[in-house]
Amino acid sequence: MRDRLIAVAVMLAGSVLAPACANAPRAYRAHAADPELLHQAVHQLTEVMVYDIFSPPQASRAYAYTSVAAYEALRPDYPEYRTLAGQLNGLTPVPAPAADSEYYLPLASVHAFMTVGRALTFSRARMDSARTAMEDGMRRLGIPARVFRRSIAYGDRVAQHILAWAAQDHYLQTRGYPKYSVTAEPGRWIPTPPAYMDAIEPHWGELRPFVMDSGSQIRPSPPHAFVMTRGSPYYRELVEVYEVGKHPSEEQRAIASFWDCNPYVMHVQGHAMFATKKVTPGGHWMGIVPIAARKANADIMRSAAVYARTAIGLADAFISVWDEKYRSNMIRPETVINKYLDEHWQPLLQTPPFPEYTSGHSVISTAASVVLTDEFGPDFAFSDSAEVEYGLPVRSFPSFQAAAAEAAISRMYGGIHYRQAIEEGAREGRRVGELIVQRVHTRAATQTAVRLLTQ
Amino acid sequence: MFFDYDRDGDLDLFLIRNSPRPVSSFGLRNTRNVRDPLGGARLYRNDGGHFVDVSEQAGIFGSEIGFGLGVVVSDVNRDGWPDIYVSNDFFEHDYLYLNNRDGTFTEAVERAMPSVSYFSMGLDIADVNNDGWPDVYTTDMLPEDEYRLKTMSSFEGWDVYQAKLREGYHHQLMRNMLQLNDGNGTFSDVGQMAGVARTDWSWSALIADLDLDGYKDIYVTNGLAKDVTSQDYVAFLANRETMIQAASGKRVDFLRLINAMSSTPLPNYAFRNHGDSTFSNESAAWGLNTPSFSNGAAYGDLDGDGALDLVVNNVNQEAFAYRNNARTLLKNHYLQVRLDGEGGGGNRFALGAKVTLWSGGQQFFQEAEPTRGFQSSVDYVLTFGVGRRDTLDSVTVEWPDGRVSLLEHVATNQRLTVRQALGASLRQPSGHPPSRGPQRLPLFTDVTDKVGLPYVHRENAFVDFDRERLIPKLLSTEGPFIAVADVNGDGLDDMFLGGAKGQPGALLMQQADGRFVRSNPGLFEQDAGSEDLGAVFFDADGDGHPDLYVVSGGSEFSDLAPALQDRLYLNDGRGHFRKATGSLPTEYISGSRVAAADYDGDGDIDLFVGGRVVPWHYGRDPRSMLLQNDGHGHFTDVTERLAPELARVGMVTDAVWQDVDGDGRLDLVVVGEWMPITVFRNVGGGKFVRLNTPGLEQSDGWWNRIVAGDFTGHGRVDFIVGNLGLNTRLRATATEPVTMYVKDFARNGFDVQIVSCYNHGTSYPIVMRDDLIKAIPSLKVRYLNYKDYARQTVTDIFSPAELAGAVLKQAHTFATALARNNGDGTFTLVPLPLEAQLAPVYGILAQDFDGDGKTDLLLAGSFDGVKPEIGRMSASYGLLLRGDGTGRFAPVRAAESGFFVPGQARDIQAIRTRQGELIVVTRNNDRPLVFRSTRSRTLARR
Repeated sequence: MRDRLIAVAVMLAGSVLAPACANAPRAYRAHAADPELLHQAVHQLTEVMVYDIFSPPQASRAYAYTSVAAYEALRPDYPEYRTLAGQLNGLTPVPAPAADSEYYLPLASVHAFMTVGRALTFSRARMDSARTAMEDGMRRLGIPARVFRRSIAYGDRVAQHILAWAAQDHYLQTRGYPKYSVTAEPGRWIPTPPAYMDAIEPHWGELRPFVMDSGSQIRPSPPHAFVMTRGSPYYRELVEVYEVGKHPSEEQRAIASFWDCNPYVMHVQGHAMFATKKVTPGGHWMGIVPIAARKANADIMRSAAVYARTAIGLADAFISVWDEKYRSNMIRPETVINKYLDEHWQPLLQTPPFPEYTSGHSVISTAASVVLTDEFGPDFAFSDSAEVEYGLPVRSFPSFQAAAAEAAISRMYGGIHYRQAIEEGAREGRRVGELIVQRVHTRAATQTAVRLLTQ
Repeated sequence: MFFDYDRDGDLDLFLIRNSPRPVSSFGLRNTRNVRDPLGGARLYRNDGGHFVDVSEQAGIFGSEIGFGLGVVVSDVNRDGWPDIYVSNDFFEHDYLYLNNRDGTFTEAVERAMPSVSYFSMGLDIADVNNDGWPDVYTTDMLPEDEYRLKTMSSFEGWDVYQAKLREGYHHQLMRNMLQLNDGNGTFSDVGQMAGVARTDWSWSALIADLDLDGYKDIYVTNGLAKDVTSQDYVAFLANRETMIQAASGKRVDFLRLINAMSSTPLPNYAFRNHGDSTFSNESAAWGLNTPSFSNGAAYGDLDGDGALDLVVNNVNQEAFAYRNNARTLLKNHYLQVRLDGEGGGGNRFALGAKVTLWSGGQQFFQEAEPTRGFQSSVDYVLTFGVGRRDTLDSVTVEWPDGRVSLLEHVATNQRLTVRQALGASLRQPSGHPPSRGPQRLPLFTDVTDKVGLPYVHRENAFVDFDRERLIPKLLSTEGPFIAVADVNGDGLDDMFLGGAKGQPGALLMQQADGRFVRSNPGLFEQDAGSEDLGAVFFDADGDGHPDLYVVSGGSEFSDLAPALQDRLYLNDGRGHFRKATGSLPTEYISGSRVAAADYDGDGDIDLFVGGRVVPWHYGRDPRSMLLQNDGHGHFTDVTERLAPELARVGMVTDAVWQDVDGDGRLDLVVVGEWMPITVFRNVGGGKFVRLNTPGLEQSDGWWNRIVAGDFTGHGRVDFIVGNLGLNTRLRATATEPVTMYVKDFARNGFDVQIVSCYNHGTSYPIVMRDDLIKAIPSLKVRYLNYKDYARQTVTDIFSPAELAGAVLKQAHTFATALARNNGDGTFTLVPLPLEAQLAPVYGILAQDFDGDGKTDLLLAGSFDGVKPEIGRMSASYGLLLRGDGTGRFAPVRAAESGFFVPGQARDIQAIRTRQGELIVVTRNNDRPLVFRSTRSRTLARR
């Protein structure tokens, strides 16, 4: 039903646009709706962030600003799509293209995405060569040089606007804030094997969210008290992690490694070490977007909208969960199990370097699934091949919700989270996702249609 | 390794093993006491040719956390029984097994050595400073080369370091250590001062007199065929295929990974001993610097010319056999000693025998223990270099069974065979090496337990590095200090000892029976929230009774924290104190010390209060205060008006009032961190101007303490000034200073401190790449790879525009020194002996302790609050320096003086009691130590 409403909206919008297009019929415009370049750009950003070793929260921030830039630079071609200015905290109206000039906005959009992405990542040469390759591809479509230059310039303007907005989100200040203090308090998080890395991003919850009023707007209930007596809720959940970790089934093992999404796993052999890198949890969901978009035959504008809303959901979910992580500072199961139950026990997955509660993957996956369900419907089956190139298999899911639920429980199978962090995390993620769905609207026409329908 | 640990005449076996478990599978939990069938070391007792595993009953650890790589036997405490040192790789600390003489051993490394090599590889034990005590040299992996340091090394973070400490892994630091044997059960690592700490990935260490000059040199082999710790490799070079293998749970092909690594052969090191515990690498001059991957090494006189030749094993390369040309090139003489044991029980090479050569009071000492270095055994014949000596006064051999052979008037340049069966007397050796002078009673006796001060300093848990990640040291562990006065007029000294944040200071009143009891506890409890630093008793309100001023300091506060307000406590003359209100200006300065004097001659006592640090902004100069007394105990801050140059003079740690220029007016001498010794001349009218003092222009150091006195006998005031010391990675000279730039480089409102020091002529930042990009994320673009950062200097990292406006701090000298007043307005900075440079000096007490009429010095200090990059500075246990009255000081080691101060000493003061004088030494986070001085004569109280 919803799909049909959208189709109607697009048709309506298309008819409004028709006269403008008719003035300048150009062959290259035949490709204007093709979303593949945008998918490529997102994929390129993921690749670079994997190489640059982005932590999961940092990656979510980059996805959000790049996706909003791409969306805003493309949107003027699609009047039925609403600007996010005014909908996202601190985002002022984005510069509009000149009314009397011709642009090729898919180019502006990809250029804005890559420009913002370049500024927020570190392997600049890689980003540059990828962007140049993509733009050369577009140039070969026959875009007139003047239009090409003008579109690039517009993409730049949008990118600068987005970067100026990003610069106000408190990220830079949080680089100077105090490090997490390790103390001897029982039940408080301490660094974990094998690398004993410092806790990452203790102040991520203080970043300006995109939609939430603050990192603490959506607060899960507090975790179980750290009580090491048999039968306490904490102890029961600890033993559950321990037991599952001792004898995981093949399926549990497969689920845990499929959703590992650890950007930096350290392998140690004597003095020798090497790290393997994978996409972050947010990156995994940004990899599900093109799978769904392709299956739904979404054009570039719709794809850009889905990327933007999903990325915003992921970013706010990370801010929310990180806020809680450094409120409760919960100790990881590995630490407690090694100390009290079994010195030799190792989790299936490497414990990531930050406090346990709530489970980041549970929160962000659920938030993303709520947004994607809103976009594509509740029974949207898909085959998740997001990490095939990192050696992981394909898993099929009947819905986004099912995928998110599996991602959440995978953290207990992996031995890095207690059940409560997963269940409360999923609840937290649902609330974040619902907030995004309610508050971030990309299609004016859709809303109108919905209103018409309900009257 | 074979040795006769039970002295029954036959050789027993000690076997070290590497752990059967991969190091990556261990957490931090300490399982040292859990025996593992395949782990740890084994001691096999030789029972008539049959070897019995007696490890457990002998107290030898047998856990799987021991990654043993080296073992050497030596009688380190010279009690006649062989002890064992095992060097352990990875997280387990090394083991020093002291022989209990009953078939068992006591592992004592934590007690004996304040820190040990972290990734200990090979080792050797021999007497490097010719004092008759065996010293221990362990090898590790720290590169000397800056590029290798920045690309191959990573240091443990503070949290992990502390966690390992809590788990019982002791202080382990990644560098070679030269542990000088103090002769009283403790060792002092002087590796950094000696210049032998950094030899890259090292294996063997051999201590032998290669140039025959009488001082044993150190030969180190190094190199690993693959750069397995390359940080770029770790983070960036694992390829997609490897990642896929790892992700899909398939076994990773480590051989392929290893083949992809770079390979860097390294020249071995040959450290020439200069005879004063300093060394220089002569591997190039001696022809020993062929790049290689060398591990095992052994020495022996292969060609019979009297000099030690070397045989070295190499990986992927032919072995080296080096002929030593010392005999032809240097004309030094030698003596070789071949021991012919009685061999009844099988020890016919007399393993465990000790040979001492004497010549004019100089001794040359070796032990017959051929297993040395790394997986190697050396010549059984002992080769001694003796310089140009033609004859020796005597040669003594202490045989393993305790008997002694003595040969007198022995010609050098010969190989001597000493037969145990012939002429070995039954005389038992003294057990300890004969000292150079006549034995005296110690000057100091530790009476800490007897006096039983009711006070223990408890440092609060605070980690400055959590707030300011790149600062070089903690500023929150600087106390406690002592103030001394007779506060109740009973003729007995009382004292105030400061408390850390959260702990009240303690006023201890001396009782007639010599005990000390706490007084006014409730009063000080109210101010427990402050971190007490300097304190002084002085008459603030002119009633003739000593009042108490306490400086509040520490870095664990924010600006405007009320706990930073200093306090004045007024004395009613009977030792009852109340807090003065409204007497002091309101201030939020994190201060250090206070110095009291009537500098303006108006009959009341005024104060100088030093500012130590601006919390959150290490490197920016805090406010210091000149406080003028109105005669009734009300103090006004007159700094801006009368001494504007004092207001932000630096990061002050101490100050003294002295008439430096001899004009009859008290001048002020101020010292601090990153500060020169600074003199402010009292120009009258209460005003001060900075005095130009030639000789002190480049005296910027990390000074902690200044004490005035006439140390040179010229009748003028000189100063003894405590500094960081020379036994640290931080090295500063007039031409190669340590520098620090401070600025909000990330433009996020937070100061970042970039400390640099020189390495082979270029000044490089100490900060490693990961920590730098955490503080300044934008730099990750330029330093994505470690190699991109490896050779960067401050001016490479930052543009002139970025450096503009940055605070620049420098240090040109770290030596604890005598500032000699030349009487013409100039000073000469004379470093105290090397023994005084082993650690930072915090406490200084200048008095005549030995009763010869000349002023002596007690020094104490050490400092744990530095990250592993710099490393705990704890090689000193306090030191007595005997003054000769002309400015020269002779060190007296703790074993002889009785002044033995382990831990982080902060202050030393003398207390008068009915039974004579007590010396009180405060220590951070510990109880004070109390010594009774046996011959002390109080000259002057500061």
